[in-house]
Amino acid sequence: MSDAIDDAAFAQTLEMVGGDRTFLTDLVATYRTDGAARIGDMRTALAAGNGADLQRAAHTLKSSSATLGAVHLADLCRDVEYRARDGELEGLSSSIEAIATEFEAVLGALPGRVRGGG
Amino acid sequence: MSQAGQVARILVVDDNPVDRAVVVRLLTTEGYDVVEAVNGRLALELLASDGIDAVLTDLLMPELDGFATLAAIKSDERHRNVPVIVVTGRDDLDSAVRCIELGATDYVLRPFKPALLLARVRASLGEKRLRDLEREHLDRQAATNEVLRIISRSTFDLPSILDTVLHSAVRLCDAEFAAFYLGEPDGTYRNAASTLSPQETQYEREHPHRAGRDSVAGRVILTGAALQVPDIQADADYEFPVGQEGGYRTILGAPVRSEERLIGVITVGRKTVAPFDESEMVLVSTFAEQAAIAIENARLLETIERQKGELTRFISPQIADLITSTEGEQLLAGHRRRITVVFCDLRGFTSFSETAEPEEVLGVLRAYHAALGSLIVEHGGTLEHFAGDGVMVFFNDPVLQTDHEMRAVAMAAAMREAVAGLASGWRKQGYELGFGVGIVAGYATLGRIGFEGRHDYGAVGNAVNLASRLASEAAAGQILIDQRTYAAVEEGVEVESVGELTIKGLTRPVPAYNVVAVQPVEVALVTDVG
Repeated sequence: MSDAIDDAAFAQTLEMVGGDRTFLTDLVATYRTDGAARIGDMRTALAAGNGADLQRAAHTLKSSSATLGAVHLADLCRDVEYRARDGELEGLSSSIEAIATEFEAVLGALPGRVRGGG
Repeated sequence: MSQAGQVARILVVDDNPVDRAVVVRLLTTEGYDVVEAVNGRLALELLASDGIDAVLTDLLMPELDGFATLAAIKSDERHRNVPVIVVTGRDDLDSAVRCIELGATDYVLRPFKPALLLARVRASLGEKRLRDLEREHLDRQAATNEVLRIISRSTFDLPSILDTVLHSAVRLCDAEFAAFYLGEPDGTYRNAASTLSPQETQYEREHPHRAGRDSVAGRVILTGAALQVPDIQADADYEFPVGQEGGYRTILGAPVRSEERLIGVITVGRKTVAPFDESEMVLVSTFAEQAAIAIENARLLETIERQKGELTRFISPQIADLITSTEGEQLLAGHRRRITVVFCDLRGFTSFSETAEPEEVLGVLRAYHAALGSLIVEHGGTLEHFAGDGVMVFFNDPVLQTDHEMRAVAMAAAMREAVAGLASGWRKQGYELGFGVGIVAGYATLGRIGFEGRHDYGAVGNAVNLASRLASEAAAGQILIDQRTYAAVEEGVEVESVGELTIKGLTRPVPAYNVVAVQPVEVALVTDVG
């Protein structure tokens, strides 16, 4: 399976919700909607040169990605969050696109994990 | 404030819907009651509606971030006790230090182990419960101290003490009313104070409680024990209109006892079905004890005032005052002092009382005592006792009098004159009664004399014995004084020597003088008590 989801991290999330896979399905749906919105926020903030908004959007996606075991995506988000915080907005466009690509990969991998596969 | 046994309510503050949902799910599964907010501003609004026992907050949030939220919670007196656990992905030391300095209870880094977060939530709730209990305890302590302070400050202002007790009980027990019923001689218990409306209080005053199951007070009177009715509307026996029509539900009653005897009842009630817990019952019992102290004090004062009034009619005002003064106890315990003792009685009284009708005897004594009594008071004498026609008075104790010998002699002379006036009336009725006095100055031991239940303030000593003997030696109209008394009053009196008297019990004869006349003296007003 994909490396998008870290086994140990996902297991912890599963434990956190008491093994309730129905709840996890709903949670993934929330993640899909919110994550897409955050990536949209990142693009808008970067275009406007608004480091604070960019930092917050990256922070939020980092956090929820980590919660669902998407460790690699969380790392990508952290990189953007810290650079935005430090005002280094240059070259972040490609980083955001990398986040968008990884986000799709995570969304592709999650349903299988939620069903208990792999 | 969460009560033991109730589900703790936790507020989760996070703008991230995924993270928030996971934490909410974790806490809900654990049995907590969870409320959510997506930023600090909304969190503070939720917090204002009471009942939040703990807050879990993220740091980076729009509108009001975690730091500002934390600072706002901790600077608000109402919420300072609510533990705040920061749950964040920010792993920099600065953020953690800043949160702890702002008053965060804990700082949990994401990703976290569920068991760890739950343990920290449990710990902070436990700590809060302790702090709540502590605060509650301090509140109660302060309230009971307040009542004690009022009891000691306005010891005998029973209404204001009861009022304080009842209002404290309402406040500290989350109750809607409190009332106090005082036992009456007819066995009923009448509303003596309450926080009820004037109409309700009026009804209660007109309808005192008695032993029975129709009211909570009635049941306390019946059983003598503290008890509560969890819901009076659901209680088949409860019939008291004030409770029913007032919409009260849970009512607690506690006995007010004085020396194990029921003297009153305190009740507190709520308009919701919410039984009082053990600590509240203990608190109400404490208030009941304080009410008992206040009532005992008030009754004691009443008794003292009454007794003082009665005493003044029978014994000298000096002793009545002494008994109720602070120095009193010390003086009563016994002391030695130089005093002047005056004994007087009526010549011929014994034979008169044997032959006359009792009414006549009492009539004579009444007139005689009235005449002497006012002169004793006028001269500042201390009346030790009246025994039929025999009267003993002493001077210079308990009130110090530098001129005690002169006062004694002047009083005796005034008495002789007064009794002479009475005696001429008695003579017309056929009674031959003369007045004799003995006065001796000397040391005596003074204090409480007697036995349990019947004490007199008295004097014992040679001076007393000698004065008594001189009085019996005195012929009608004589005032016999001893050498020492004469030496002290020499300049103000005219005496004639009666020679040396041989007194039974004394080996040497005693020189004595009869006071013929006393020059008018100004009797100084009573001075200090020594």
